[in-house]
Amino acid sequence: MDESTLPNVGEHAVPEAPPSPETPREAQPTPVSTGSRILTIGILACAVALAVVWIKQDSDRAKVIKEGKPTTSAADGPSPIKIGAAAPALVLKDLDGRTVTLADLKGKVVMVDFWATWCEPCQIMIPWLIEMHNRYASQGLEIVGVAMDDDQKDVRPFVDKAKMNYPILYGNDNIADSWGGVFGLPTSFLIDRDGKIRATHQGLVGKDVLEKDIKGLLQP
Amino acid sequence: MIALLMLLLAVPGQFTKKTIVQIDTPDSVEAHAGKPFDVALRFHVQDGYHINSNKPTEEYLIATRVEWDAAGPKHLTDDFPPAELKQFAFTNGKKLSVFEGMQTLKAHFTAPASAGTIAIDGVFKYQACDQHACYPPGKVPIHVTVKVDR
Repeated sequence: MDESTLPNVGEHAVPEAPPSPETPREAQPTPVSTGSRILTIGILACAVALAVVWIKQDSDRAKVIKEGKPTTSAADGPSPIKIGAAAPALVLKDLDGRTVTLADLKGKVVMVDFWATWCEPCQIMIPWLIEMHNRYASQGLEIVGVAMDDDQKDVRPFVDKAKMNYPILYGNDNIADSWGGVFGLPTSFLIDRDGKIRATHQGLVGKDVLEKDIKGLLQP
Repeated sequence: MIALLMLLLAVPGQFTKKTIVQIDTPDSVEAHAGKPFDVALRFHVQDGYHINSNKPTEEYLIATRVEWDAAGPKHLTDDFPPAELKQFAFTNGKKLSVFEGMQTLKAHFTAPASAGTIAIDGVFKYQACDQHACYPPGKVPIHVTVKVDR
């Protein structure tokens, strides 16, 4: 955001009334002009507050890239889903047409990964998930990939080629909405053994970040 | 007030469908009956985002393209701008062929044999990412009026 735009918000949104020939500039302001000024100051204050929040978020995000730290807070996540809240329902078909539900996986640590075949950062993450499935499935980890491709026929060949060894389900806009409006991919949710959301990541984060989160939940 | 609204809309974390590409088309184009003519489309990729070029480096990536309505004048070719080969935080050192910022695409058509006013309709299709994530394929409708004289 160009900070130079901020002062213009007030100046252009609520221009001051031109001085009247009968009213010297030094005269006391009328109730109307006082109201305008209060409104101007209010709008300006809102704009500055929003800009500060945005700049702070941008700065934190840049820091995340540089340092490879997680984006685990709800504020950085893609959705209003809160950390600690119960995971939304997930009832989808897998590549073979079988219905898979999240409820079936209760008692396990579950990572739900929204991805798509056309998503380059998802391609980076997939081998990590394969590796984590191999390493931690015996300890109670279940990884579930939700493919957000519009064209389902693209999914199976990709899954086979990438040798994805965890369940892949066909996603849709409704499931994305129920999980808080997942639009940026990859987006992953880590769910504990009690079915509660413990971490969310929107966009690619480091493998070490994902693994640390998983290991933390697998420990008794 | 408009600037304030823009600020509100621009705050990140709002995962509604984003308008990442805007297209500027000429109000009208003049052409001679039966002769070739061009339409220049200026497209702007929002700062902080990129879209795949018309020739992505990986087969699974979605190329930028324009689908022209067959009901319009005969479409010949589209000349896309030169793509940029660029690596991103998520590409592990790999370079992707992308468009960023303001670009111009030149579409070539042949005007119909008779004079009059005709319309060209199409859809600009793209798939965008930022430094962290990728977004669902998007599309922008295109409409151009062509005045054809003899």
